Amino acid sequence: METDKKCEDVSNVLGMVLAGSLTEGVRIKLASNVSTEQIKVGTFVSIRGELMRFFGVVTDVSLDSMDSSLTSIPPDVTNPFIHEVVSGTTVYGTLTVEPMLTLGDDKDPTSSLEGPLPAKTVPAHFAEVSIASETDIEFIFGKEDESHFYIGTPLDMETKLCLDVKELVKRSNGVFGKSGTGKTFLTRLLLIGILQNSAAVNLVFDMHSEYGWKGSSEDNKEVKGLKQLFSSKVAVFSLDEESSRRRGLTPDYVAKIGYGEIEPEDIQLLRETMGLSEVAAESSYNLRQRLGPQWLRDFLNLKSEQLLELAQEISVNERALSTLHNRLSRLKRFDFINESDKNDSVKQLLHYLERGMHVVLEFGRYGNSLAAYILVANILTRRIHDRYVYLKDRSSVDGIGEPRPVVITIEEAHKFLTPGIAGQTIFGSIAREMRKYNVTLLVVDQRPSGIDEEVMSQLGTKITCLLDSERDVNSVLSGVSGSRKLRSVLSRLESKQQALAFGDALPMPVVIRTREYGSSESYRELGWKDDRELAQQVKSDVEDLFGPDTS
Amino acid sequence: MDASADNGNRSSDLVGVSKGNYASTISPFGEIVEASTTYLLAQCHRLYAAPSLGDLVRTEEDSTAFSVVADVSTKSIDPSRRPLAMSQGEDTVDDIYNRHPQISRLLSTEISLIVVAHKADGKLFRYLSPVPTKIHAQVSICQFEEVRELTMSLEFLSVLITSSVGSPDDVVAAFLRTASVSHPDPKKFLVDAGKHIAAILAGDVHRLNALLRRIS
Repeated sequence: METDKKCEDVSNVLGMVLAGSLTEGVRIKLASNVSTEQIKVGTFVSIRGELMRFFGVVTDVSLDSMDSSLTSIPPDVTNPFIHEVVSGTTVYGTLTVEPMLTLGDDKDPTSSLEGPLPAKTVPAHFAEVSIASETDIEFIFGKEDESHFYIGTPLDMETKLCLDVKELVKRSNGVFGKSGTGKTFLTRLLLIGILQNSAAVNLVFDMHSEYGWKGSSEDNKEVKGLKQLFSSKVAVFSLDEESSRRRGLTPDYVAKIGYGEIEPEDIQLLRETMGLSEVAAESSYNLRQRLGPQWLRDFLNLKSEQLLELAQEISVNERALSTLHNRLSRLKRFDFINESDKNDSVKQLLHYLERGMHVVLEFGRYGNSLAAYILVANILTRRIHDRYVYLKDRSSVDGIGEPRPVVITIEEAHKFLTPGIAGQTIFGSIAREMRKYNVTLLVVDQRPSGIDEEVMSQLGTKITCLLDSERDVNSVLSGVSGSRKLRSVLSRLESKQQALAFGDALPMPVVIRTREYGSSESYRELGWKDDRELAQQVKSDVEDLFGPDTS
Repeated sequence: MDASADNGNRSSDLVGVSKGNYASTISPFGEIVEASTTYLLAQCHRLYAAPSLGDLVRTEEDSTAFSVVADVSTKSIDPSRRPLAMSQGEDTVDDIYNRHPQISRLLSTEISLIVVAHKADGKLFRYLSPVPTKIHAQVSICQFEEVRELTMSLEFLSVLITSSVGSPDDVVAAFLRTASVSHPDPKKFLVDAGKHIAAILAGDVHRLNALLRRIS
């Protein structure tokens, strides 16, 4: 047994530390029995230093030779014997490893009470490097438990890699990746993690109706939504009841928005989407002042000659006002906007959230309209924000419990958080400081470069799938230590089921293969029970309550 | 050329050839006639009864010196009298020796040896002995077990590679080929040895290529 263990250790040894620095990463010479082809960028390694153990990520793999003349006069590798001899000696592979964490005691990782600390030095010369073991991963990322959610596995390993959900919900987070790389699957998993660990309640602005009830995978296979897996904990609100019913779902609530709920600042946010000039958008403030709370309804009901009169009255350029009128008339096409001032969608929504129910708001056919998405998300979020500020302030005065943290998931986030408007919109201020009021964002986007830099820097945990554009990569990695080296990892992710995760919820950046989602096995692992199991559960619950049925 | 092919060339005069080139019993084939700490010259007891190039041999004395056969030569015992051609028509070599039995007395076979290791107080050291072997010490071919023990580690290879006696590359190649047979996995032994050589000859690809080709 002892010998077996030793053999296993030896086979895991990759090589030894030869050079490097903390800023440039440590250079490791691969042992002669390890080929560069066996090691991938992003692999998680452990380095046994003299005083402590280091954990790091492979950020580069290169080929080297003892003598520079070898590149011009290669050895006679047609002879297999010579090939075998020179590989690993005269010519060899090297790795660049970014040391990320250190552990005090090198003998027994579990004996260190402080847990892993960020690496502030590099291992000594010739320190032995090996692929991190399952125990290492478990110790660093935590075991799957109440506060740790299994999100995937490290590259080429079967160990469960967990996110610290409690840390995750403390700040706003981001999921990035170009279209088709698995953002939605990843987001769905994060939502489930938050739901299962009861760390916070989710509010999902579900643009394409794929989180609540039935989504589909890339190969058009149907996958279950949150409501199907956790029906007692999730409520689905719908803006488009017809579409929801067509998909076999009876929404818990059909949301409506009144014209009176739309504020000039919502129009500001729609400027780009609706093609409004700055002057036109600004004039909505004048309209609000002049026409009162129902300004939009009254404004849209005006005839063109009345517009002229109004323009003069509030001293706004007449053409700008008529453009605004034209463009805003499009809102009339949205059936979920009505003239009633007795809509209680917001009240219902808050009611559900305060009870700890997770809410998915489906957009149905309006999902294709960015204007509808931006408008609704902004209006609802603003009201939630107000309510949470109130609740939090009250809790600090009255000493009653704090409001339950809420995580708001928005897609196409760059539309809400572009540099120009992030300073003014409610999403910008949530991303910047709302964690104080227990409201955070889960930003899902394919163009992170379109998001305000300040907002990006405030995101606690970022999980990013493959990104192609240089600007997007820069924006995601800005402010991260060792970002230059992580770039090479990020740009070489596989296009599916792989993501680079870093930030507060993880002790160090790591490439993950996203956990499987879509098979009944995977649903069961997440706690889903089929009808037969549910019936059995009910039966056993009844028996627990009333004793066995003797009739 | 592999190690087993080489076995066929062994002189039948050597006693006790059993495993590869190496003897199972100690039987001296010659004695030292010239000695320094690094280099030994041995004369065979019988003409042509020399071990092969690259064989590991030992001297019998208080401390045992291990050396590798780097060159074998047969010449007149009197440097001023060169042998003359004696063949008459279609004589074979044996015919000539039978007709002139004195020839065997006028010639001698000498072996140049490169010292690589020594044993003192029963312990093996893979570096030179502090004092040279005495003249007239008996020399015998190493036993199979000794070869394996000595070649468990190959740090002395650089001595063979950098030596100026004979053709060092051929000596190294022959030594490794014959020694490999004493190891349970000869191929692995040769690859490991090759890696050792590759490190020593890192700056000389041509020589490395040539040497490795001889080993393979």
